Amino acid sequence: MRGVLAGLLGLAVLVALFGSHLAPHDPAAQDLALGVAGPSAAHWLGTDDLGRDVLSRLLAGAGSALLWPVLVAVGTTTLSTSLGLLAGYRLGWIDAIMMRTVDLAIAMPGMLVLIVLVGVLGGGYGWSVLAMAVLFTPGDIRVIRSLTLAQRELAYAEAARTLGLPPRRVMFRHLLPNLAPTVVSNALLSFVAALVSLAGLSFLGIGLPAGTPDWGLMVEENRDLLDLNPWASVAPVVLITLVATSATLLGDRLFDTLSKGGAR
Amino acid sequence: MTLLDVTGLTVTGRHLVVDGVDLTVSAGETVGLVGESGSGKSLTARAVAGLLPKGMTATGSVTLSGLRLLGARERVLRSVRGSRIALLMQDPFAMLNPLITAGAHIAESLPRTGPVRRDRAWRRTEVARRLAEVGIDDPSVSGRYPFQLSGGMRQRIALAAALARDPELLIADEPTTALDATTQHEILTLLREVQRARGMGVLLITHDLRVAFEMCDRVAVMYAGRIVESGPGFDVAKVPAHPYTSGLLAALPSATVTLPRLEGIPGSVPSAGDVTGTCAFADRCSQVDADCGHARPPLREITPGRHTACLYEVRPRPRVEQPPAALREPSPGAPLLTIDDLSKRYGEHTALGGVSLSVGEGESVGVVGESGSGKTTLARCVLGLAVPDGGRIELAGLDLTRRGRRGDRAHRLVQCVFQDPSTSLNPSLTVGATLAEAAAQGTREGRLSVPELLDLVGLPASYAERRPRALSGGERQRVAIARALAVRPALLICDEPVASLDVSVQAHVLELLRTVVRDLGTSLLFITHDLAVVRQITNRTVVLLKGKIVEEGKTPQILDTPSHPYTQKLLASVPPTP
Repeated sequence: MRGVLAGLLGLAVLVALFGSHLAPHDPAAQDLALGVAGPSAAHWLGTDDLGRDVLSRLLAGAGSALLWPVLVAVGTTTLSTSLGLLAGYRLGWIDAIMMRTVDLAIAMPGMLVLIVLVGVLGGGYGWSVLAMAVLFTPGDIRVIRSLTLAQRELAYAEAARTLGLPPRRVMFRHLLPNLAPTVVSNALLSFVAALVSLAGLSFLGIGLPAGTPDWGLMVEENRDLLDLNPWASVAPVVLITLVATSATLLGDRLFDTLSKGGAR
Repeated sequence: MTLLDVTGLTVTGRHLVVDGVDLTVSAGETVGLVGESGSGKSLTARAVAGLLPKGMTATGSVTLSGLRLLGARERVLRSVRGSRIALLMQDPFAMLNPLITAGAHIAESLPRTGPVRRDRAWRRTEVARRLAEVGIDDPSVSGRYPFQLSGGMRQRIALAAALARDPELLIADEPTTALDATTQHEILTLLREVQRARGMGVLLITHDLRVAFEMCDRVAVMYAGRIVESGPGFDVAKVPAHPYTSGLLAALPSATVTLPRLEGIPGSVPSAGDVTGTCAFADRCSQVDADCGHARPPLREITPGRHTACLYEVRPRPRVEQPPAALREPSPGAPLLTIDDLSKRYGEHTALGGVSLSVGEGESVGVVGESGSGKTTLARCVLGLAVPDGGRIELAGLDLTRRGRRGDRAHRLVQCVFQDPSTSLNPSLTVGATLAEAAAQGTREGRLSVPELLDLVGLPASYAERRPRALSGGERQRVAIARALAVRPALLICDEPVASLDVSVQAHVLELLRTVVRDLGTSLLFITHDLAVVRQITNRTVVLLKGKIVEEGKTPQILDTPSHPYTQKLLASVPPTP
C-alpha cells in the first residue's frame, strides 16, 4: 500500500517538474475551429471551449498546482517546528507571548483574511502562499509545543539538561528526532490543505490570471462545459483528490512507521 | 475441591509465550504465580479469563468447576467473568472510570437478581457493607471520584467492585506493584482477610517473591513461558528445588543484613519459543550438564505437592553465612554536598518543608520515603531541574541554589541516574552517540572513551552501535549509569534506579553501582522507597515524611533500631526475606 501511495506521489512530482515537456500539445494553443470536443485519439481528454488540449493543460498546470503547496508545507513545518520547540522547551515569557499570539491567530477567520489579502495585494500565488503559511503555522505550533512539553519531562531530556548541554542542542538533537513522526505527517497535511485551498482560491478567481493552465482554474473555467466535455473540469478535480488523498494516507502510514521506528 | 484447573495451556502470539502450563486453584486457597517480566504470567491469567489481547490464541484446557472456559463462546465467558471469576489489575488509576464515583463502581457490579427487591435503598446499604468489607468505614467515600482517592483507596474500591458479585475465584494481577510499601502491606493483609472470610480461591500474580511467599499457600514459579517449580510457599522459600528459584532468592536484597556481594543470575531470559526442546534455564544455570540440552525436563514430583522441572538435586548456595559486610566508611572531612533548610512548594502542596542534610566526600547517603515525601523534588533541586523556594544548596564550595539554566561548572559536579529505564535514554540516538556526547561535557583530562565507559558498566564495546530499543531494561540502566559517570561527577544522584527492574537484574545493577562508585570515589545520594536496597548501598540514611526529615543516622542503626514511628511502620511493611 505504501509503495502505491509513494508511487502515485512520485509520479505527481515528475509531472509537476517536467509536465510542460510531456504535454502532447502547446497548452495555450487554441483551435477555435475544433471548439469543445470530447476525447479523441489526438486529444485524449478532449478540448475546452477555446479548443485547447485538456491533457496538455493538466500536465502543464501540475507544476503550479503542486509546487506552491510544497512551499507552503515546507514553510509551515519549518516555522511551526522551531517555534513550537522553542515555546515548549523554554516556557516562561517566550511561551506566554507566543501562545497568546497563536490564540489570536487561530481566532482569525483564515480563509476570509486570505481572500481579502490576495484581493488587495493582487495576483499571483506568491502572496497566497505566504499568507497560507502564516495561517497554517499557529495550529501546528500548538501541536509541536504540546509534544515538546511531554518529551522534555522524560528522563532522557532531563539527563541532557543535567549534562549541561546548551538548549539549542537539547531541542534539536534530542527532542526533535523524537517528534519526527508528527512533524512529517503534519507537513503532509499542510501540503494537502494548501493544495485544496489554492485550488479553491483559483476556483474563486483569486490568485492566477485567467487563462493560466492550473487545476483549480480549469475546474472553474470549464464547469459550463460539463455536458459537452465533462473531462475538462472533472479531470482536474480527480487529480486534486487523488494527490490529496495519497498524501494524507501516506502521512498516516509514515506516522505509524516512524513512531514504531522512533526507537528503531 | 479443585476450582480452577488449567492443563497444558499454551499461548501463541507472534511467538510462543506460554508453553504448556498446568495449574490448579482450589476453593479457599491462594496460589501465587511468580515470575520476572516476560515470563508469561500475566498472559496465563488473561487466558484463564478469556481476555487475551488481539492476535494471541490459547490451546490446552481451562475449566472452572468442570465448566470448560477455553474455547467457550463469548456469551458463556461473559456469564463467568465478574460473577464467578473476578479480576483485580495492577493500576488502580486506569482500572476505575474517572467519571464514575466509587459507590457507582460497586453498585454497577452488584448482582442484579436475588431474593430481596433490588431498590435504591438496598443498593445503598449493600455498597456501604461492601466498602466496610474492604476496610472503608467512611460512607462519604462512595460519593467520591477516583481522582479524589489515594492509590490504596482506589485499589480497595477496585477490590470491592471485583468482589461485588461474590466470585469463586479472584485473579489478582500485580495488585500492589504500583503502591507504596506501607499501602502494599495493608492491601495484601486485606486481600488475605477477605479470602479467608469468603473461602474464595485466589490466583495472585506477582513478580515479588517475598509477596508470594508471604501470601500464598502454594507458589508456582514461571520462567520463559513454563512453570519450573511449584510447591507450598514456605517450602519453596526454604529449600528451592530449581536453580532459577534459588538464583532469584539469592538475588533478593535484604533489609536486615548488608550482603558482601549481591548476586544476580547471569544472562537474560530467553524467549519461550527458542527453548522448547531444552531446559529453559540451561544457558544461565551453574550446574548445567549435557542432559539439560537434550529434552525439556518434565515437571517431576519430588515430594507430595512439590514439583520441579530440574533433573537434578539443587545444590544449596553458599549464602548469608558470610559475615555481613561493612560498606567502605568515608574518611571524615569537609562535606561535599550541604543542603540547608531547603523548601519548595507546588501551589498549595509543600514538597519540601525545610530539609537539611549533607553528603561527605565518598559517602553514600540514602533518602527513603514514600511517594509524595519530597524525595524526588530534593534530587531535582540539587540537579538544577527545579528551583527551590528557600534554603541553600552548596556542592564542593559552589552555590547551586539558583543556578537556573546557565551552563556553569555544576554539571561536572553532579549527575543523575533516573528511574524509568524505558525513557532514560534517547530512543533516536545510539548508545555510542549518547555516551560520547556526555563524555564531551566533562573536562578534557581523564576523559573516558566510549569503549572504556561501556567496559566500566560491564557491557561489550559493540553495544555502542545499538539503539536503546535493542537493550533490556537492565542494560539501559547500565548505559544510563555510564552516561552519568562520563563527566566524572563528584556526586551521583540515583533516583530509584532499580525500582522497575526484575530482582535478578536489580542485583546486578546494584552491585555495579556499589563497585563503580567505590572505584571512582564518587559520592552517592540514593533515593529509594526500598529499605532492603538502602541497606545494601548506603552508609547513612535519611527518612523523609511529607517534605520533612523525621529520622537520620547510620543505615544499619536506622534499620536495626528505628526510633521514629514512621520508620518503624516502613520497616514493618517490608515483606520478610526468606
